[in-house]
This record gives sequence, C-alpha cells and structure tokens, in this order.
Amino acid sequence: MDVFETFRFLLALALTPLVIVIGRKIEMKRAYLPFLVGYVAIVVSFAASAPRGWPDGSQLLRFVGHASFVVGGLGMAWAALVVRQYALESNGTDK
Amino acid sequence: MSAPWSVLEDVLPVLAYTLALVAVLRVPARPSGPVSSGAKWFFAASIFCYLVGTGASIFKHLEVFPDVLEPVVSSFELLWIPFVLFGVYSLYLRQQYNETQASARALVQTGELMEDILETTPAGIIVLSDAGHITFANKEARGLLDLDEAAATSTLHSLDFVVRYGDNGTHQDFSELVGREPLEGQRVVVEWPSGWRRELKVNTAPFLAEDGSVAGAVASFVATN
Repeated sequence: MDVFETFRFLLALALTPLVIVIGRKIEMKRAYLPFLVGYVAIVVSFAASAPRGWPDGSQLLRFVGHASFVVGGLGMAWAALVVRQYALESNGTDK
Repeated sequence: MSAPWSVLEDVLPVLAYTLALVAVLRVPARPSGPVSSGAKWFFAASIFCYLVGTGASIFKHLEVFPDVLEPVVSSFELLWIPFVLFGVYSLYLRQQYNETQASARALVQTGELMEDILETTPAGIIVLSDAGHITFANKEARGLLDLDEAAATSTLHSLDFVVRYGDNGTHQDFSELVGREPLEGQRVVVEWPSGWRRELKVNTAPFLAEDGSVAGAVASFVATN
C-alpha cells in the first residue's frame, strides 16, 4: 500500500459524512446529486490508487481509478454549472 | 511491466477538471447571492489542486517533470479534501447568513407595518407598565390625553391629569386598567386641572412577563364625549 495514497483515501473517507450532512442542508437540491457523484467518484479513485505502484494484474483497479477520477471531475463540473444556475436565478437573470 | 499510458489516464481528467474549474469561476458571487466568494474560491482551489496533479502526471509521461516537485504535487492533491469541505461549509454559512438577513428584513417590515397601523388607527392606543404608567402612546392617544409627543415615547411617571374609574376616587395613573383579566368597555374619565374632562371607553389586554406575572397592558380607547 502507498502510505500517501492510503492516508489521502482515509482522510477523504473520514470527512465524507461531514460533506454529506452539510451538503444536504444546502438548499440547492439539484446540485447535491452531481456534487455527491463527483465527491464519491473521487474518493473511489483514491481507494483504487492506494495499492502501491499499480502492480501487474491490477488493470481493472487501474481502470476504475482513472475512470472514477474522470467521473469525479465531470460531477464537479456538473455541480458547478447547477450552482451557477442557482446563483443567476437568485439574481434575477438567466444569462 | 508498467501499464501503457492511456488517454483516459490523464487527458480526460484534465479536460473534466478544466471544465469544472471554468464552471466554478463563472459562478457569480455577490454579497446577497447564494454563493459567497469564499465558497467559490475554495471550490476553484480544490479543482486547481487536481489540475496540478493531472498536469504533473502528463509532464511525467513526457519525461519533463522534475522529481524535486513531486512532494509539492502530492501536497496539492491532498489539499483538495479540506478545500472541498471548506467550500461546502462556506456555501452553508452563506445560506444561514442570507436566511438571517431575510428574517431581520421581515421583522423590520412587520415592525414598520405595525407602527403604521398604530399611528393611523382612529382609536387611542397606549401601552401601560405594571404600575399603570404610560410607556407608549400612539398619535390618537397623544391627542386625546394631551400628551407631549416626546414624553409619550418614554415612561411617564406623572400625568398632568387625574383619572377616575367610576366612583373609585382619583388616580395619578392607569393602574386600575392593568390586571390579569382583560377589560372591555371600561368607562374612564380623565380630568385636567383646568376642569376640562374627557370620558373614554377603554378595552385592555394584559401581557405577561416570563415568570407569569402581569408586566403591563395594552389599552385602546375612544372618547365618548
């Protein structure tokens, strides 16, 4: 196991309940799901990165790690677009 | 044998996080809006941390990344976690702040509405302390009781008229109107030293202190002659 990657995964995992609880209290319901998808996907990518050095035979793990990393980025982008829409609507414009 | 470098591995994450960063940077952060500038920049910083990581990975594959920067990139990637948490918490704090501000505005508007109602009603309205002293009088009450406008907004301990309740003699205050039970249609006569008198028809509603004792009363009245 890679110590840094494992620590990063455990830190993200430990803070996940906090992020979920606070995130649910924010009244931007349409942004919550994409944000959660992005966050969980990134935590999954951390978990997949924890085994040291991508040993031979771990191609599936490697794929899961990178695919979830991409999904994490897209989830964050989706959430940011929804939050932007909320912000524009609250300011009385949809431009 | 190391696995081959794939497009999925680094280029797609760069594109995804670049898209996320652009989307975050385009979120308008205004003083009274739902997104604070703190939340916006925490989210932007968190995404930037990952752009640094994925960018460094591409440079590594191109063999142009100096090893000395490796710990720096790892630190950047680790910062994503607190930055995301701070961003979410900042959003939540802004929501709480906006709700507090909205409540305060609603309270002020309600207060102004009540003040307008009090000042425009054709009946005199006074607020009495538990001792029967006037602590507030509206415009009509000030006219009917000939109260000074400035004095009427502060506690009046002595009046320049006496108050009669039926045959109970004279009083220097309205203490007879303050009780646990509300009054309806109570006849009260106020008399000035000059001999001028005014008869009032009074309704009252007591209000209680936290310990349950009578803290005062609101009295509304009209002149009957």
